[in-house]
Amino acid sequence: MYFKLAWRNIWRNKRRSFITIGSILFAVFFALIMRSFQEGMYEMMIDNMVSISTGHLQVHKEGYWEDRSIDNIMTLDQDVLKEMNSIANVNRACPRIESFAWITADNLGRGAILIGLDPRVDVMALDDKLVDGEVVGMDDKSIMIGEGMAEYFGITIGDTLVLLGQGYHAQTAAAIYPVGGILHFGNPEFSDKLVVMPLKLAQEFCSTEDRVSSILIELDDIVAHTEVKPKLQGLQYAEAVSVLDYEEMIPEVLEAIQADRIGGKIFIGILYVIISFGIFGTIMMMTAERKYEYGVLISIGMHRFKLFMITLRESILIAFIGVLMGFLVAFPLIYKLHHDPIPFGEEEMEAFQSFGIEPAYYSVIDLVLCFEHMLIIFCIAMVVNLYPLVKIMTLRPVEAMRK
Amino acid sequence: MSIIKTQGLTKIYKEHTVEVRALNGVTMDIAEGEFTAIVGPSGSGKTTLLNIIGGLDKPSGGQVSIGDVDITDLNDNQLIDFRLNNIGFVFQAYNLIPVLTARENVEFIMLMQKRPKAEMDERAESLLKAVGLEDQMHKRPREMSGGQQQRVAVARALASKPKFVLADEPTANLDSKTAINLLDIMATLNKEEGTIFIFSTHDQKVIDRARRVVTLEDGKIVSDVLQN
Repeated sequence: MYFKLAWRNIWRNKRRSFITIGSILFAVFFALIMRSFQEGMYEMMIDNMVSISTGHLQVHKEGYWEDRSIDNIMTLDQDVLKEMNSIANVNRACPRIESFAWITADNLGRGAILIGLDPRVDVMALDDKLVDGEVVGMDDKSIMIGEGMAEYFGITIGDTLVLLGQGYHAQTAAAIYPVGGILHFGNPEFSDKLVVMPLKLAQEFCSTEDRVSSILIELDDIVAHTEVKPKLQGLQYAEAVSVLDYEEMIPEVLEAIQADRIGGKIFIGILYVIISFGIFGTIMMMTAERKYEYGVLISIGMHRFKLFMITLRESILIAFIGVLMGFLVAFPLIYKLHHDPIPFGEEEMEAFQSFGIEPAYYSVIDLVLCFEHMLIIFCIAMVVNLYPLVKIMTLRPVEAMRK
Repeated sequence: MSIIKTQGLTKIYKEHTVEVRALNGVTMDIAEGEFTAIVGPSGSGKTTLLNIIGGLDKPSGGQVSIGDVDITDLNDNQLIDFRLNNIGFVFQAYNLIPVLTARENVEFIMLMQKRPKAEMDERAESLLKAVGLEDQMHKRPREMSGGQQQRVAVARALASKPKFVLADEPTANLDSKTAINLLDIMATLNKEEGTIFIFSTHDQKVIDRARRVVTLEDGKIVSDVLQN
């Protein structure tokens, strides 16, 4: 009957209960959407960096990361590559050539990042980024460029670009290649400056023979990097290599994310404080309205703690309903943004692109994160209940029943 | 045999710097099975006396013994337990739990006493029948008239099988006919259950139905009369 009493008490003053449930619902909804979106942005930033630049892990000649020169490259051993691919949790190992070149067409020129890769297996997922033309094959003699670069030079599929650079051991690297495909990159830096070419063509252009700059490792799960790294270090290479994980390669990105995450948490903290006062206000009102009734119940023989437990049950029910509804309202939106991110408006797009961030509302589906925030808000609702506890414990029935 | 004994009860309230003496040396005994009215004008100390006998308030001086327990020595938790198991309350404003039905209101007291479900059901039904509300058991207080609510309150007060029932102005919100009907029910239950009823009132028709009338004035007993 105590549960029945608590449940019916909730609906005694429907408006007050709806306001309380609404505040909790809003807090949960806002916290989940904001944090999922924030974590989604971080995930997208890391994914971009990992798929285009670094991989989850990267194997390269010792000293390459400090001096990323075309002279500082390693021999590509196909047996080692096979072994890498057979390590548990390794999704694929992708050899790459990375260099720089000066690109010209007509009277225009621009510095570019040159990446030679195996288009069939590379982590860059060229098929997903293709907006025009075709993904070039490993034996093709054509290149792919970002949309920004295509726009800058005013060229389309089949047009040619001249590449001038420096090859292995200061050999001249100069060639003219037709554009076989145009790629879309969310990050404007890549869109404007990236030239992607088949690995063989890049090795030919830079005169590196079978050497590569690095081997990018993509894992099935990012968290497996600590366990895969020593296995990669244990393989037999032709020369001394170093194996770096993404945390070592993009520390500045991770630090920026950490700083931004703290900012987000502070914002959510402020929201929690505001919501706490909202809930506290309704609990205070409820306690004042029911002071007389509490006096009656204590008079007829109800222990104060038992009375508090009834009000606590009411609060638990209200908090539970609010938290659950907040989750049920937020989750479909989180799910939608995870599977089908919505592009930003033009103004926000420019602002985000200037920071190198994919300009779309994307969210992660992280049930632990959801549960964490639901629990925090639930706990806030419970802490606020210390007020009726104090009131009930100090209430004098005769005074409470004096109207 | 005396069940309730008060000895030199005083109660002094402080209102700002002025002391108000609500009770001024009240000594009285109430025996088993009594049906007693405490009467007197407003401010004479009727409610204060009932509150102190009911363990809801502490006296400034004197003693209250119920059976062989001096309730002025009990702490808050002991007093709550004592009230639950020994005293039934009927309030002027009925004070039923608004979200519970008549039957649930009566059962609630027994639930706090941790009585078996079957006993709770049986006693709630028989008490509501005794107060003439067998067809209103599943109604909530707001669906009942004032007189019906007060009858539920009487049934609730008796549910815990108390030694005595304290009723502070139980008929004040009722019309004369309903008030007399309620008093008749209380008198019947007093006889059938053997429970002491002590009620405060200043309604002459109600006073006429009491078997003993204790009159208070300025916190003192000025008369104590047995009626036929």
